[in-house]
Amino acid sequence: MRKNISGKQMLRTIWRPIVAVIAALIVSSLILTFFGYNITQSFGAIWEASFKSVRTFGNLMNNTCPLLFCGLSVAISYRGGVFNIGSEGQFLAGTIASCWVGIVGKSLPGALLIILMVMAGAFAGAIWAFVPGILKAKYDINEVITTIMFNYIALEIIGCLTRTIMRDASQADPQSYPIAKQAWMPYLVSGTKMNTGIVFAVVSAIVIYILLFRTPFGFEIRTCGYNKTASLYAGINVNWVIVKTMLISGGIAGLGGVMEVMGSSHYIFEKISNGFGYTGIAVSVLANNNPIGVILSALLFGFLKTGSSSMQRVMNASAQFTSVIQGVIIIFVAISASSNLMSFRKHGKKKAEHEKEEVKA
Amino acid sequence: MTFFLTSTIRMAVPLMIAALGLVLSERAGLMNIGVEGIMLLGCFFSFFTSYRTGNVWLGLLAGLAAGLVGSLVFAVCSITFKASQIVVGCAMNMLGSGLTAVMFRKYFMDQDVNGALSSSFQNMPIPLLSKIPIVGDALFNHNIIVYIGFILVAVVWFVMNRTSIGIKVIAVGEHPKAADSMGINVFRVRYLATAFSGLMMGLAGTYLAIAQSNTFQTDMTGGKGYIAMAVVVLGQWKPEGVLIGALIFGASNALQMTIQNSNLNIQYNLVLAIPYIVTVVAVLISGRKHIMDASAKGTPYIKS
Repeated sequence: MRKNISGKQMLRTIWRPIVAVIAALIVSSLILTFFGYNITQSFGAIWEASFKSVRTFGNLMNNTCPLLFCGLSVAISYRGGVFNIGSEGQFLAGTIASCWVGIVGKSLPGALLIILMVMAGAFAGAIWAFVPGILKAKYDINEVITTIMFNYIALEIIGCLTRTIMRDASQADPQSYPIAKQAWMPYLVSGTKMNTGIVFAVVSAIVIYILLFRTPFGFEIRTCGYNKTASLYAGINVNWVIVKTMLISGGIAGLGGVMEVMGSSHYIFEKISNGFGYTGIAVSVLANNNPIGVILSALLFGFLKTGSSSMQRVMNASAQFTSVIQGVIIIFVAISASSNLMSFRKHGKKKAEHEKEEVKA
Repeated sequence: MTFFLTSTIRMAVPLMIAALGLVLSERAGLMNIGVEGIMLLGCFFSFFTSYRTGNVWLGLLAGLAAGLVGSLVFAVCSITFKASQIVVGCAMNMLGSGLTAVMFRKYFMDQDVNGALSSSFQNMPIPLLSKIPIVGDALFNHNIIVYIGFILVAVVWFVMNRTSIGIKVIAVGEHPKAADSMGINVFRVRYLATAFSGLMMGLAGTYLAIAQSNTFQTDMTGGKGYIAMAVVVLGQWKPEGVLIGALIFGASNALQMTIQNSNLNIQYNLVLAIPYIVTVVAVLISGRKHIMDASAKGTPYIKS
């Protein structure tokens, strides 16, 4: 009996995102056609950017990793009823802090340096989320505005640092010194960009899943997200949960930044994030804020992101087209989550209710 | 000094116009964070039309229409389909940013970076008043959208405080169910409020594109839509408050520009961060009093 229900639920949770993605692909194809781009060639270019060879597959993994972290960051905050639009800034804070440690601690042994960098990055991300979190908890200040502003502030800070004290003068564009070699993430397959970061990302997703759905604290978070007033009556310290949710959310985004620095770029520059935090919102929404689902949707958006630049190269269509696909996907998911469209189960339910009422009458 | 005052007004106006629209839609119970993306649509279409036709007024119409269409997409999703307003807002931002970037690349790829210049609204000094020393040039020598913006403040104030429309909007935002039982069509009021706010976002975008800069750049709004949301909080959801709030933000932007133009040796990224920091501080100071914020904000109305 129980298995039956969870099977049905599985089907329902997977059914909606799939329909939404298909619908979004149709709409995006229409838009592409409208602007006179060849659909098969465009999607072909996107496909080849990820699945042409082992090397391109490494690019896909490399792009998926930060999206997975940012998606997790958004997922946990949305589960807690906090709209953290600030994963972007928290990610950047993580890159800055870990890169700083990675440059300063040149003489340290690799293992120690890696641990320090991870701690610094996660801490920086958490701090960057803590301020909006405490403002919301204490003064009821809308976290949407503050987290967005913190994104811009983080961006300006990284711009300032890479032009002044952290600037590597041997490079033409403003960027920081590289981090110490012993802190570089080992590559999983040599000759590709696939590094151990993706493993950490998947492990983090599982940990967050367990935290959210198998621990009392996760229960508190979800209860607060579902109904703040009820949580208050249940004796949950809602404000404290908000702050803790933001701390974890920011810490994970910061970890994403650490992995990006240690595994991929090895230095920081102004455009290091490339909108990962904002895409993280799409990743999380598509996965219905479920950490395990986030793994799959991060793969999808990583796939789109990887394909975007090759689409620009091959088709001359703006790489930003993936933003359009993302937006359309989110809209379809959001609509399907709140209305009866696309839902085959609710109709049955309603019918059952009607029948019940008739029986009563 | 005149430069500072002039830039204050120039930077304040787009925030003020967008915030005016947001006042109405937020009081009606809608949290539209898609303002950034919708403004971008307004930017691109006004620029595109003005560039192609050479007529700024057609550009203005196109910008308004783009804002209207963008806000209607938001309205259909969040009012009719009751989707989460914040999620849809995020999607609108991605759509706005993505679509305009795609179109800009498609139609203006051949131009070099600053090559594509459109015709734009010219300054219209008001006779006599603009001759007042220092203040005259700063206050009364602007393009027409600036004047329209200030007139709109009065118009929105009048509508919100002296007409039944204003009462309906507030009722719908505070307690949609009660409003419904009084015979107010909640959906229609919310749709109209969103449509008006869309027009304002389009106008703000138009101002940025063909009154302030004569050109379009990818993501040229640079967070101005979000700052407009902060202006609404700062202005306590009132048109007259929005006017003051926008001027404060305009001043912080003007300060940033003045510092950049001066010989002070401050790293320019730090200077660029000033408006964002001011936003956080301003929201912190004013955000504690939520009296005028709509109680039902962010929640869809489900008629049962």
